[in-house]
Amino acid sequence: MRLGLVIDLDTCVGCNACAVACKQWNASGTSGPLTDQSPFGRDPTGVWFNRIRNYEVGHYPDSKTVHFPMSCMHCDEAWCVDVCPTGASYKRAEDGIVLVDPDKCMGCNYCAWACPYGARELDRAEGVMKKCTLCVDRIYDEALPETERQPACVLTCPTHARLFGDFDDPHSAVSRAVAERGGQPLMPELGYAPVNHYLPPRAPREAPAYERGPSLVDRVKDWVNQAVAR
Amino acid sequence: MTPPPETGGLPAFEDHDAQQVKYTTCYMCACRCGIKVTLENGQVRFIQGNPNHPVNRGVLCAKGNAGIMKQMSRAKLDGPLRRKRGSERGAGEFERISWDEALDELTARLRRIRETDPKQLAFFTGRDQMQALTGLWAQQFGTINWAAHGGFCSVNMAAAGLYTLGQSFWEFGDPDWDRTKYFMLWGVAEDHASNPLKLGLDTLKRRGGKFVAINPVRTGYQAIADEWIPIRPGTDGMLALAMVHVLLARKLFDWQYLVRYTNAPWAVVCTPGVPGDGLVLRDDEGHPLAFDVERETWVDATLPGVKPALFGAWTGPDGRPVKTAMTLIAERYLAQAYTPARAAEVTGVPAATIERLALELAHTAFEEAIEVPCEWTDWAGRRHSSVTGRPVSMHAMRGVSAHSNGFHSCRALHLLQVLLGSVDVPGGHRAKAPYPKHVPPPIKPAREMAPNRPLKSPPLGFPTGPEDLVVDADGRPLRIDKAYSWEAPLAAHGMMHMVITNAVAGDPYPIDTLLLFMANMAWNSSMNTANVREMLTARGADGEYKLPNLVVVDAFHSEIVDFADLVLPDTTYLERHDCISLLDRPISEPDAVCDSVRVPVIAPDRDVRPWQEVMVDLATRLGFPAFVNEDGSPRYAGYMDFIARFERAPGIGFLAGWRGDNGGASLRGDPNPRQWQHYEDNECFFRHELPERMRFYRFANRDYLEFARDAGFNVTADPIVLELYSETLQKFRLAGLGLYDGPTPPEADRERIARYFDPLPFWYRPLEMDRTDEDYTLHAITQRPMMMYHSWDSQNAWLRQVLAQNHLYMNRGTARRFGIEDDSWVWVESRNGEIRAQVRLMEGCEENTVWTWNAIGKARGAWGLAPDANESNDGFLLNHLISELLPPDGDAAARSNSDPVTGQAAWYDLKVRVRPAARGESGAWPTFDAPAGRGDGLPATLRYATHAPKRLTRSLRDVLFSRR
Amino acid sequence: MHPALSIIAFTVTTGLGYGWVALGIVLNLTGVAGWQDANAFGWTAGVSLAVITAGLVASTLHLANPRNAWRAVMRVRTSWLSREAVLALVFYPAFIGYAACLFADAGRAAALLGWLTAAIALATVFATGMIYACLRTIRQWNTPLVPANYLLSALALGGLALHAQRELSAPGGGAAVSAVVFGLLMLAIAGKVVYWLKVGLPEARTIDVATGFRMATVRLLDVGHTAGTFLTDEFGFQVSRPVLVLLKAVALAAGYLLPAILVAEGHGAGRALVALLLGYAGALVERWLFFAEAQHVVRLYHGQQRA
Ligand SMILES: Nc1nc2c(c(=O)[nH]1)N[C@H]1C(S)=C(S)[C@@H](COP(=O)(O)OP(=O)(O)OC[C@H]3O[C@@H](n4cnc5c(=O)[nH]c(N)nc54)[C@H](O)[C@@H]3O)O[C@H]1N2
Ligand SMILES: Nc1nc2c(c(=O)[nH]1)N[C@H]1C(S)=C(S)[C@@H](COP(=O)(O)OP(=O)(O)OC[C@H]3O[C@@H](n4cnc5c(=O)[nH]c(N)nc54)[C@H](O)[C@@H]3O)O[C@H]1N2
Ligand code: SF4
Ligand code: SF4
Ligand code: SF4
Ligand code: SF4
Ligand code: SF4
Ligand SMILES: [Mo]
Repeated sequence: MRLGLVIDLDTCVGCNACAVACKQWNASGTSGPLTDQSPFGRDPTGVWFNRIRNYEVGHYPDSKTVHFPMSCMHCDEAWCVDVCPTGASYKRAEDGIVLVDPDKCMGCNYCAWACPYGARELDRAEGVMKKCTLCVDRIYDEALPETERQPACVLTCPTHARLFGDFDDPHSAVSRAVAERGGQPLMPELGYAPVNHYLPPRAPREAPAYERGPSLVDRVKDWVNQAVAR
Repeated sequence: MTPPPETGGLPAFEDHDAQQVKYTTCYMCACRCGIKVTLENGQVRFIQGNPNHPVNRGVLCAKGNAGIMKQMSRAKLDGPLRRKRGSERGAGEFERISWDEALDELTARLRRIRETDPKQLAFFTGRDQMQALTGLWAQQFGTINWAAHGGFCSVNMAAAGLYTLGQSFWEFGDPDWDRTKYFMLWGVAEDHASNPLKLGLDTLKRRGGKFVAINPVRTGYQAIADEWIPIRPGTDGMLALAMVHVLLARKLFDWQYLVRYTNAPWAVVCTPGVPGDGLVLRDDEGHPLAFDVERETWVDATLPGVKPALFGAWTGPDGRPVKTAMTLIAERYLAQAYTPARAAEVTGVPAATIERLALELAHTAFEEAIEVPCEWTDWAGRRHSSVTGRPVSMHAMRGVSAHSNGFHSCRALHLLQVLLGSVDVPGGHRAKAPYPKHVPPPIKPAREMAPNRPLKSPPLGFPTGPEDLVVDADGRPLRIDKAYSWEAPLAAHGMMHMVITNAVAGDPYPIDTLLLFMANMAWNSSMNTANVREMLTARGADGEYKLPNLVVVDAFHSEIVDFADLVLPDTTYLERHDCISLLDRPISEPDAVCDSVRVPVIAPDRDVRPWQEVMVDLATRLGFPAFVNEDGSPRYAGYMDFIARFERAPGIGFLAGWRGDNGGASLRGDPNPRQWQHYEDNECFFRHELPERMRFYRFANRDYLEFARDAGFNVTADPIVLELYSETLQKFRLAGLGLYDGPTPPEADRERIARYFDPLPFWYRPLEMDRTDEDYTLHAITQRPMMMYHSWDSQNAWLRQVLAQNHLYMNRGTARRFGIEDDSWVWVESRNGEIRAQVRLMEGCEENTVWTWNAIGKARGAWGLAPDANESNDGFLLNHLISELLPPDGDAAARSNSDPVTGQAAWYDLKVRVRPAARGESGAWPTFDAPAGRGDGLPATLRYATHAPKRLTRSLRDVLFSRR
Repeated sequence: MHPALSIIAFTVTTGLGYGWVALGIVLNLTGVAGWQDANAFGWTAGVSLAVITAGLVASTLHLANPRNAWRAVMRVRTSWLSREAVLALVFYPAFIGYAACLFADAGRAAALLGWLTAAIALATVFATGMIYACLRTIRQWNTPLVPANYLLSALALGGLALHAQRELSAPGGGAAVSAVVFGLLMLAIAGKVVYWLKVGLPEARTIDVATGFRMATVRLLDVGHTAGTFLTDEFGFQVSRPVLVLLKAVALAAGYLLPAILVAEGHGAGRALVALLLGYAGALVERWLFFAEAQHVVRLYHGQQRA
């Protein structure tokens, strides 16, 4: 299995629901707590596994705003894992999830340097590197209803812009979405072979319109009434 | 996922035996999604969307996901507070008192008021969702000085809808997401239907429909639109009416729909300058007349089978000249004033674009019409086997309504929808029960008050003529907010934004006690905030506060709390019972009647009480007739008992589900003592699916109309006629012109009334814009950030990380012209003063517009934040720049900065100019000093978790030998 | 990249130590400049080991969880950091073995262990360089010039140390060493200049490439957090061009040119020590620049146009 996410840039409205759902689930999840610094003070910050950025493409008035959620791509060529000296970082053979073993991590940040996608954040209070777990503590939990064995971010997304599944299975929702919508990984040229894919915004829909035509303005006076029964 | 076989040894991450799942209703905002809360060790482990809930169908927004941090807020009030004797109001110095003391004191004061002059109590509520209860309470108290926040929120939208369609956008109706092919979103950043809108946009886009966004700013929803129309603020009415022009000019409108369901064919008297002008031609029984094209005679326009002319001018049976309403419509909008070319000058949208949009709408409505097979019976008993769908839909909110021309602009949108035949049809805009109501709903605002006596009707209602205004014999306002006065005759939601200003000015009269529930009037819900804060502490010649007593009911230490004389601390939404009632602001869907409840999932750890409970308690102490028995003993054991047993009309109570003895009755039935339990057992919501025959044309659908009458939604089952032409407005206009047989406005108001009470929608420049110096060249507006609810969420340790400082966003090209650099500090000046803010440049912003996120800037020391928090030092509040009063128009007295029809606060009329701050000037201005000691003892880190993590570890073998 | 002082001190200091040891051994084994005496060797060995150890200790200072530092040897298979750690560890027995053989006059073994020690020392420096060079995320680092420069820096700095040691124990005695050190400094300068030229080439990666919107200008509108995060702290470092140019000049002049002149133009312990100190300081500046100038690709997502 090659588990990962598909993010639909066509419908993502940048609401941050996925980011907060992730924070919420994982606070008490296998990597929790996710320390927050200065929570009620100046410059509040903390550990998040998923962050939403907004970009503008092009110039006014033809600019397009794009919301861009980013979390770990669970890369096939997870260089972040290769560089980790302690073996704390690993990619699970059985499903491709990239994880950090907090008992082994020495907090050297090296893996974060190796990650092009900004997916790893150091928990400064614990001295441990943390990252998206693909909700490994949800997706296999058989005590949860089948439909809820999904990452928290996927469950919550109000525009269903997030899909989760097995990229090895050509019939999975993620594989089909990628095939149908031309899903792309980010910066493939770096060679990390990210598993997560992004579906590009679709080309703006054109709606058919009536032909522009002569105006009837002058003829209001003699508009012919139709006999329509009330 | 099924774990792959190799996974084998995953630990049991969650100890489900130690966990408990409960259902309730979110109230991180007013959308009221269903939530499934997992609890562990008395704390919240996880809040997720309830997949079965009609509102959110399993999804949850960012706020809803951050409920845990609301519970962890440092701003939670922990007991009743009384302003320290001798301390200044606003200094934030309090003493903790007991509930007994607090309620005894308050009861005594309220009793005195009630016994003498009930209007001395003004009770205003902000973001609450229990207006049916607070309104009932006020009615029982006997004060007309009650309203919820609608006046500063979106009454333009509500009133325009209710005076036109008997429904509206927002919680009144929804686009038919599953069928619509063309969707236009006007001036919406987030709205109350936060998750439903997102679900809907997703559905629409996946189905391949076109999404057009009309908004000066391209963020959020507009980002995913197929076409973005960067409109100049305040000009939507013009855009809509220019589209109406195109439709009329090309004869692209739904003739049958107009004839059958609207008052377009009604004959209107045309005798300018003569009483009766502009009123509907009626027969002796008062029925409207239309000219039957086949019979060539006057007929009762309400009769089935008549074939009224849509166009035409005649001499009426009484000899007066008449025209059909439709003729007046055509004459008005075909004129030069509404051509796309003229609209382009006003709106900044190219004429060709306007024309194309109109032609696209019409094409979709008429060429891509859908026929849905469906047996239904119309109001006259005629059976039909299908309905014609016009798959174009719209949604609009405060971008259109929060202007002083918003009422007419909203009406213009409805006109457009109706011409396209797209209201309550498949693919169009569909009502949600209890809507549609009759146009307008038949409730009149209360006017008479007497000591110790409930009002005869609710304080708020819908005037249908000058005689319904709440004014004295001299035409002077009777309400403290001047709602339903000549200043704002159709102020159907009150005018909360004027209460403090009026009360402190003693205009129309001073009051004793202002009771504020869930409204942050010392900050983000006031205009002219810095001055309002001064008003709250202003003293009269006698040395006493001009507003003698301010009682605040709040759950959190917001800005208003520091100005209170008495603070009654509320619970959080996870700690209380609550009901989301059909009598109130319902959560129905087009296909189902719905309501819901909130139940406590955690116990409060503070000395707080749900305001619901306290209201029932106070009502009982004060002996309100509805709350006590004949002998004065309490009638209800508390809030839950009240909700279960109170009947507004026989069989109709706050909750519609599981009524009757054993819970077998829906909508109407005897009170059921076990009703709450039924709700709990059903995940806290009730959903009554409407049969297919009741799903469309509900204004003229007999089965539905009868159902609605029986359920108590409407008083009668008469068909509802959509009023494109508003005779109600014309009556006011006649009064303004001195041609009305009834109350007449005072001299100073005549011209305004005559001008703005136009029976047909029209566009005018928003009042402030019209009266402000030309050199305030920029429009300044705000937007709701999706992850923040008004002022509430800066206390939220997770959400504030996403947005702790707001910037002033402006178009990059515009900034270049003003010599303003990205991230620099600027002074923003309006006629009401100036503020300092930090700029962020962007592309997706109309060139004459600047904007910011609403209510992110905070006062130092509020919300449990450190005094140096970003919110109160770098973030800013735009409200300081907005005056609650309009610039005077000639010699007339200053009027509130509101829509002249409804009194809706005109937040988005603001004009400003922007200049770079001097070197060294940085940080927001103005700032407000924090009371001493605020921010002490705040934790440096927060590590929330409900259990120690079950770690997943990697074996040494794997570490040493795996390839990667 | 955030220039963490501990890492800068670590790389420069260990580089100095390893360069010193490697150069000393190689010059000795090739007969270019033998150890003057056991005393001088012992002295060198002791100080260089202390320097290396200090450098390695410094490296642990930036660890957020030093308790697990020992685990750094686990992933030699894939991690250059692990390789560096292992090399750094095996250096000790090799070097101590070499020293023991020298003292025991075990010539052949000494020679063998000498070559081995020098190789490990240089390999360690190479591994340090590779820690950075292997990162495809940082264009400025992802080049063989990085390990090359780490080696050249280490050798030049080690050379200055060797030179100083010799001038201290026998002033004026090491013309050959001076010549070698001068040569190494020149090479190091060349290496630096080539590296800076390469780094200065027009950047390849843009925000358009990062986001996949290649057809139009892409600009960040909102980064999604008001305050900084671990990532912006770690990667968000920015120096202005003038400062960059100035510091480069300082690093070249103070760190390499001046010492080269001092080494070439005369003798004396004081002079040699000044050269060493200048070289060390210059190397610190240069290493600081190495980090400061490096731009992680993730900055593209944070709004930078090119990296
Ligand atoms: N510039 C500008 N100003 C605006 C607007 C705008 O767009 N631009 N929008 C306007 C609109 S539409 C609105 S509706 C208003 C909203 O303005 P307000 O109604 O004042 O809204 P809030 O900021 O939500 O704060 C209301 C209060 O509710 C309290 N509260 C929160 N939860 C609870 C609870 O559970 N119980 C109790 N008792 N209290 C609680 C909070 O602590 C806060 O003091 O703002 C208006 N002001
Ligand atoms: N997350 C979140 N959700 C909320 C709230 C919240 O605070 N946070 N508040 C709730 C409340 S009380 C309300 S009233 C609703 C309001 O919901 P919205 O109506 O979505 O509220 P605003 O953010 O005021 O959005 C106004 C939009 O109109 C645009 N606009 C401004 N002027 C014009 C104009 O003249 N023409 C057009 N076409 N557009 C214009 C603005 O750019 C903005 O996008 O949201 C509710 N939902
Ligand atoms: S929840 Fe969905 S729509 Fe919201 S930011 Fe995440 S991906 Fe985008
Ligand atoms: S996204 Fe980053 S952290 Fe995740 S697997 Fe890829 S390189 Fe590693
Ligand atoms: S920070 Fe931890 S996980 Fe990352 S490379 Fe270092 S030891 Fe490995
Ligand atoms: S998969 Fe889980 S851990 Fe990863 S971003 Fe989504 S919620 Fe967070
Ligand atoms: S939209 Fe969000 S905050 Fe509002 S009720 Fe729904 S989940 Fe809660
Ligand atoms: Mo509102």
